[in-house]
Amino acid sequence: MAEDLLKVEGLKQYYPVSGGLLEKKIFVKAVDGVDFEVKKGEVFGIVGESGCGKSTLGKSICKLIEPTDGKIIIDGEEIQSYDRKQMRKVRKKVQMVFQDPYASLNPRMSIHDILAEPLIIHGLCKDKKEIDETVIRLLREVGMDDYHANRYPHEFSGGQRQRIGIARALAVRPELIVADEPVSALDVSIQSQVLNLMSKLKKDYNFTYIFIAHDLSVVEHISDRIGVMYLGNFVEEASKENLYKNPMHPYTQALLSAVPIPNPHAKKERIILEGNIPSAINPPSGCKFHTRCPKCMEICKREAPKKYQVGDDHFVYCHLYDKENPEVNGTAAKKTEETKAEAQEA
Amino acid sequence: MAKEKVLNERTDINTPFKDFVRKFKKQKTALVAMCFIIFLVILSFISYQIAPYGINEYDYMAILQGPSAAHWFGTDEFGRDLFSRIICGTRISLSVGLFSVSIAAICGTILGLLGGYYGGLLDSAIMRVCDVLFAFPGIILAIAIIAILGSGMTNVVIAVAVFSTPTFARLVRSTTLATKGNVFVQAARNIGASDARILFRHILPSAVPNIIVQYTMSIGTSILTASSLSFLGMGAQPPTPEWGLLLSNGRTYMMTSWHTTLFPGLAIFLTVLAFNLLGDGLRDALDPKLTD
Repeated sequence: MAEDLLKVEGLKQYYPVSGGLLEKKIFVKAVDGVDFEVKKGEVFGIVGESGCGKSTLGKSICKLIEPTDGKIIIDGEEIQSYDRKQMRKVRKKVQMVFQDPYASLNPRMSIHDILAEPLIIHGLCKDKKEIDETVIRLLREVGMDDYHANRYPHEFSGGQRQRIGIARALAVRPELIVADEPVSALDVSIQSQVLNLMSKLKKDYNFTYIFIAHDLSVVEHISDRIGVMYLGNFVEEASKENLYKNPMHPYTQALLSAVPIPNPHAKKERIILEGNIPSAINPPSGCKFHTRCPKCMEICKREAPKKYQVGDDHFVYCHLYDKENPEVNGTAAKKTEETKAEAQEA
Repeated sequence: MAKEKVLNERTDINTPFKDFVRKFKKQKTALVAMCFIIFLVILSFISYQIAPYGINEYDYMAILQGPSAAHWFGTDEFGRDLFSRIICGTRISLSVGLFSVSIAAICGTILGLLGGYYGGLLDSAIMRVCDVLFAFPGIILAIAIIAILGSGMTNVVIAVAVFSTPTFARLVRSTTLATKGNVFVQAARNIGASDARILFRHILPSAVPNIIVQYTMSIGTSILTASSLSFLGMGAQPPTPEWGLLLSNGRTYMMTSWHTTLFPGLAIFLTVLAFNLLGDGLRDALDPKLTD
């Protein structure tokens, strides 16, 4: 098995929301203790509904925000306490592609200047000529023309801008690219172009991707392994095949049941979740999903579930799969039957 | 090979600067104002060569004469030619305006960038000092500074610079705060850009249009303030042909010789007006929200 390129342990990212002199400090727990690893050369997809902390997680990994707690280990280096200067070397290994291609390019810089910046900062080119050549090579790699170098971001469409964003990330030849919803701001037709470009680049350079998205079909298309997030935690982590064919966590099941099937006659049992995602300021006790879980048990309200292995490369954070607790297991089976019966009645 | 192609391409593209030039050309008043300012600048360089009389050339046979073919703007109480004195005063007023506002713009921009970017205690400290300076009316503050430093043109420049600085600091700070949150700043940090690089390459350019407008407008104000200080006897000392001083001299004879105050007054008025109109035009041309 390939070695871990990135390892995240107990990563927490809290944002303070109020902090008066006399008030008690309140935090938004955007990411609340996340563990996972990404192996060299794989594409790790992260899905979840909006507000579940996927983007925050991506930014923490790139240290664009200082993590509150936990460890981030890249290539054996613990980077969580690195300062700006130390980070500069790490940035050559980890790059980020941003969600909004309209905001991530400086409108006052030409494409040439945007792409030349990482080269200059990391001293990757000897002279101006080499920089010019590298910029043009980068543009070609992402399928753009040489003369685009002298244009400004406002002259490009969203898809083209996203290509430029990818080219900028490529400039330093990173090992890990964190793509934060790189296609969610684009048209469906353009989405596939950008996704194919990313797959092609992965093949050419053997990048490792962390691919963050809320669109399940997009993630399915590109990922090898997928983590499902809910309210700052992973609920399920599995290989693509396992997750889509055999979702174990009630949340994943509900999420997958919402994916439309391109067949109007197909009958499908949809699991409708009730209520909204709870506030991350005051998340529910125990399992964070228990307020909306159709299979909620007493233990879920008290204890946060541990990570249980349910199959080859398939992990789930749910009490339903606690084999050491036969009582829970029994209840779970009963509950599942009940829900099925209810569904049939309805 | 590829580079040549790239260079050829550069001519027909729409840079932000070209966009600005195109918009600015439509501002007729501002264009006129700019021409007038260019004229003043040229005048300030050649005034001593083209002045028909020396600035301190006394002629006791022609005291307080009205405008005539020999003395276009008339003469003062010592028979000195007002026209020569006014055009020679251009250099003083323009350089006072330019120097003081340049100092203010540089200091204010740096303070604003630092305060806005780093925030926290530094920001609070800078902004509270600015608040204190804002609490004084400009001219009173300038008088206070002159009182401490003593009179003279250098001190006028310092005084005017001090009271213009907070405006720039606030302006740049607000743009910095607005730009800092942009994703492209985060992207720059992501590729490993240093703070200095982010500040000067990514944040400052967004503030430049505002700075240019404020700069132009401030020159008008600072010329006016410098003249006021000279008028009050705290700036230029006689016999310097400073406009405010000319006005102050002429005030004594205003009832009998109107031209002694009218022409210096007009010079100040037109110059300040030109800078303000140019500033207005620049603001409209640089505002990205106003498309043709």
